[in-house]
Amino acid sequence: MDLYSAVSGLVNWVVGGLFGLVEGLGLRGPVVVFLRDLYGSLEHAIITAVVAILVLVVGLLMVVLMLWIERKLIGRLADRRATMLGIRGIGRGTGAIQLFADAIKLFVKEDLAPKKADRHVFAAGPSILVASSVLVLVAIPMSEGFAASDLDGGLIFAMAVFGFAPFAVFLSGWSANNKYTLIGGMRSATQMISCEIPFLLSLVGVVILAGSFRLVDIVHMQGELWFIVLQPIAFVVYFIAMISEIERIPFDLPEAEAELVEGWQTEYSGLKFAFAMMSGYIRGYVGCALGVLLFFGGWSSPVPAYSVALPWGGEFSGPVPELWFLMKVLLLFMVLVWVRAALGRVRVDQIVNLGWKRLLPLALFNIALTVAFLIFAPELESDTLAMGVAFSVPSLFLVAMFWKWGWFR
Amino acid sequence: MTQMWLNMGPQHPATHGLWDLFVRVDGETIKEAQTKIGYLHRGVEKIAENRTVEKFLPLNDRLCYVANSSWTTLFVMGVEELLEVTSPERAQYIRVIVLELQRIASHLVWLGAYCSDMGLLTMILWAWRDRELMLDLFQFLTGARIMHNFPRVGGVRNDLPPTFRERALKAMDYMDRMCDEYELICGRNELFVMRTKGIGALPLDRAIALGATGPMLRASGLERDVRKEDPYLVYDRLDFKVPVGRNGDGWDRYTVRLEETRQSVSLVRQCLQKMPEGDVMIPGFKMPKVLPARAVYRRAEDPRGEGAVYIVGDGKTNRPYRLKIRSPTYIHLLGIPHYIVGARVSDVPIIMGGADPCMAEVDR
Repeated sequence: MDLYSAVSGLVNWVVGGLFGLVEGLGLRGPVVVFLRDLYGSLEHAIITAVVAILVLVVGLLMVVLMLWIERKLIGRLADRRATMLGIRGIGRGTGAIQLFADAIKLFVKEDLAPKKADRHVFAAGPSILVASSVLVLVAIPMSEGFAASDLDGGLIFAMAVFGFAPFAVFLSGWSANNKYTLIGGMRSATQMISCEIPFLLSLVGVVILAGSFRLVDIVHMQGELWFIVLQPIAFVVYFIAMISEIERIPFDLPEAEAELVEGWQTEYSGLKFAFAMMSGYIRGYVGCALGVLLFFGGWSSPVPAYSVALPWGGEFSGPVPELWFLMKVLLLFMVLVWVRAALGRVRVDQIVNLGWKRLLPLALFNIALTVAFLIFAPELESDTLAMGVAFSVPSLFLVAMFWKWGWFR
Repeated sequence: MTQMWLNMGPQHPATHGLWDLFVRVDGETIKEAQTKIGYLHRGVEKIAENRTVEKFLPLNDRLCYVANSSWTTLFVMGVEELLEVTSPERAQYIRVIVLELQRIASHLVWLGAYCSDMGLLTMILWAWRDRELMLDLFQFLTGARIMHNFPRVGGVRNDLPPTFRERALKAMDYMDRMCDEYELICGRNELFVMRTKGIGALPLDRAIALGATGPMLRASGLERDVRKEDPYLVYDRLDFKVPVGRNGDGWDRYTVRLEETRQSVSLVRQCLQKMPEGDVMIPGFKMPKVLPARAVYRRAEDPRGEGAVYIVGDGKTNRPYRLKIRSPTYIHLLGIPHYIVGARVSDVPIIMGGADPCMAEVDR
């Protein structure tokens, strides 16, 4: 059962109950008939809206969780405790309510704009950013059932919308009429032209293996072996390009706080800044979620199937698939936090070098390798998986040797 | 493409202190730069002319907020040379301990700030965490963490506290381990290498022409250290190496300063071992009412380079007739516009930070 039919059943049950109550009270007439007709024609829209809100809420809750994990983990890596804010009874000393405190603070802050800024574009920047970030959530299934939509070209849609953010960053950087924001916006554009192409090309191998752009299909194809084993180079390219796409250290050039104050966000305050910040984390979630869907088997359980008889009857055969999915996403995100704690920021010419001279050839090499593999084993079956591993291990070795020869510098 | 002027300061996270670097950028490339200093000018040299030497001592601590005691010690050494007195040997060892602890603390602050300039924020917290140990030692020895006001004309204020030796040795062992750890997160870090190698290179001839001293000059490849050339205090009795770089770029500045930290750790250990018993002040010494009508020029190896004081006594009062302070970073800062040209905007904080500016000392 997918999310749409579940919500539709729920909404129909509630609305039907309401109408039944109205009729039971003896109220009949043109108004009730009109309301029934209205509901009949709006049913699809209402259910879609409920589904969308549900997916959005889950996404935002994940953002809250990720922000908290990032703060605590980066604090621990820097040998400090990070946020400790909590109220008695609710996570005292864990920083559980720090985010809500921050959100309230940003809500009540004055919304400032520079005098000479292009006000409309200045306001449009964060809006486009948040809208495009949230829109990707639509395409991401958390399990076979839990998805806002099951698009045939889900991956293409996600990539198209995901690549939209640098445009918003560029707009807001230019509109603020500040030299630092202008440079930040320009850097965002530079970063996009250098890392967007390898980012997309890294997915081609996966799509060739899965034979579909539908994310559910891609996950199903990884039933026996995750694509990280078959496509290690693709994952390396994807991961590096993804960090650049979501603008985190080491590729957070547009908001390099050391030289550009706060980059393109310099002039934003209050809610607009909160939006800019939040969309960064939504994009982080989306990037990690796509990584999990494409390379780590999505919601499939990493442990072999088992079942334990529960003392109160019934059987327990592992947590729900959505939970596996979210756990994998958070683990991947923790790697991002680790990278942030361990690395600095690259220079703008270095990222162009990296994108065009390193990641792009690697991605193309991976595509060639995948095609060669498919010539030997046209169908991805369990007996050909060994061959896939035999292909991927030397390729990984080759990449390691490139690393050792300093080709990535 | 249109070029524009960009302010890197004074209210900018990149500036290490209150100064201004205007850069003319073409896209991201720097075509021209100018410095503007003086935001922190307090007229310290003029104040010194109106104060007795004892009253001026605490102000020396304010000359640099990162390496306080090195300036006070330098001034005290100058006055001692003017008065032709020599402080007891134990006092000199204690001064060296303070100077070297100060050097470690100063280099840690520099390393943290340098890494945060390239976004490596973990390092700044590690460095400041370990600097706390030095500050704890200072607090134990002098009673203050930053503004120690510890050296006196004719010695130092007090002897080492009873358990200072053990605590200091323990801290030095810890610092040895930590230096290896910094090496792991900085020196073996691909990104750190990428961001520092070849950045802000100052060739040796230009470094000499500029008048660079200290780690900046040594990074460019000249082995020159006042502690070796013109030994003061007891440095001639201690065994240490002077690290030298090759290209004078950001990477060499890092390696030189990290190695200096290691040498300072070993110097503190040696001092604690070799230190004789005895007085820490010249017995019965009193500050004379009149400074002799002479001039002395005393230099010393500040963590940032060669610091020097030029003191003129007038033979009538115990106020210096003239005090001139040579600040090493003043010279380095004025050189930055020459060797920053051609770098990227992203390199600006790294090049600025490589000089380790301490604005209180530059503006005086």
